[in-house]
Amino acid sequence: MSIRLEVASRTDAGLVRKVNEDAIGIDAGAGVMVIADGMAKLQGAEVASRVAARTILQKLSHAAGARPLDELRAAFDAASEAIGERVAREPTYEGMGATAVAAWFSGPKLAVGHVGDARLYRLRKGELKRMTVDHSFVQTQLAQGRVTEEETRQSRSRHLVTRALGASGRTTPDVAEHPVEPGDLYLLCTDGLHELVEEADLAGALAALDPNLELAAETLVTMANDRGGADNVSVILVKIGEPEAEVPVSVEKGLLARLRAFFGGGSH
Amino acid sequence: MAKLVMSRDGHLVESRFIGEARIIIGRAESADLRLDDATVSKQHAAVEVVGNDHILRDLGSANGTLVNGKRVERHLLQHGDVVAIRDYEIRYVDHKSVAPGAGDRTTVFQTTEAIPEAVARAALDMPGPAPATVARAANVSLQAGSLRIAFGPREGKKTSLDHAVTGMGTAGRGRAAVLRRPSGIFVARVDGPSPKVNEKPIAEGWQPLAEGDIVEIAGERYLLRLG
Repeated sequence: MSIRLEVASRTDAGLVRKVNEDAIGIDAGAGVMVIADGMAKLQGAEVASRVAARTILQKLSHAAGARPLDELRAAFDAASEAIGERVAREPTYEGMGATAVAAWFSGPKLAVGHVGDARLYRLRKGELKRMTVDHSFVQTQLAQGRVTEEETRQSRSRHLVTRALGASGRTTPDVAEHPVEPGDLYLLCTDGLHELVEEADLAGALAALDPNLELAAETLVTMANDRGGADNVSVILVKIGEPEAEVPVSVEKGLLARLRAFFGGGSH
Repeated sequence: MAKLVMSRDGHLVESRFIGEARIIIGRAESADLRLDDATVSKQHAAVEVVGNDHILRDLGSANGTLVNGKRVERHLLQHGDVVAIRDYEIRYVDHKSVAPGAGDRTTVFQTTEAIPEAVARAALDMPGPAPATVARAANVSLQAGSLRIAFGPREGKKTSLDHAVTGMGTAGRGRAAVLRRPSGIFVARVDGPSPKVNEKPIAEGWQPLAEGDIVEIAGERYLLRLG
């Protein structure tokens, strides 16, 4: 079975920061999308996010797809190692790391992995669902009932993540598989979006702009910047098209793919 | 370090730093912040420490606790908040949050469970460039407005723009959306034939609208009212 994917993405430094420390990786032909948000003690945040996004993208693009969850874990591990190697060569990068979310669309299924507070959302039949649980201090507090959802948005601890790629602590991703349906709209984003734009507004914007993904991606960045643009903001939107009987084979390399086909079952 | 500065009738009564332990505010002798007023409950309110945050809780007091003039049961304290209990005013001062910066950047913990609060604080003290201003979703105000259908079968129907983005039109006949921004209301073509504003087709992307503009899409005309 082949399923059409439509993809649009944007990454923006925001209004406050000079450097964009987010990185995006897309291989629409392989159905792989990655977003990473870099962090650093001294310097290297933008290096960490690029190394993370590139490594995960490369690993998954060339993976067989037979055991997607294991392959996802391996790709995240490789990203941590790659960051570690850069730190070993360049001591001022000591302490750099990245949060990341990767979505791997393969036929009727989606495999997702994440570390930190980069998120995956799904809009299905007008309803927005958060598909990832942040690895963050406030998420832990929320789970324990010590703070409310609203308070996590205002919390001074909201930027403390409990896992990150390349960090000396936990780097293990959470991985999961979900069935996809035609018409589903997926959003990968960094905290620069979800921290500033409330989920009700995200849901409304995605539902209204769903027929025009480029406009939708542009608008999400605008909405974050309208709310202060305090952080870098990155989004990838993936729309699941209707399944097709015929398998279209033309894949134009290099273009950001719109309406490109890919194959399920690892035959790509 | 955050502190509570208590005054009564404009006179300073007591000032107290918030440490690791929760602070009880009330009339009881044992209260950490003692309010000498018979209408204040013995255990009136408390300030709880959660990570780097301080949460004010009313402990079921008889006469209530106000923050910035509003009665609260529970409130995440922000620098400059004024807590009022009867004649007493307690100001929450947190100089660290006045100069945002380190705390505004993503930082990673080395541990995952039962993160020691001291670690959380240390992490926040990491150096980092400080952004000049940090706006939060909460203190941004988007232009309000409504759309009234001025022509067509649903004439007279009014939609107030409650969400940031509102869709209009129908698949096949043209779809558009309006976007609320701090600077005003904008309209864009989503798909199909372009909407018209005051009878003229619009350019691609978000275009500003003005009070009284007529947006035409999918055979319906909408009149924009701001405010």
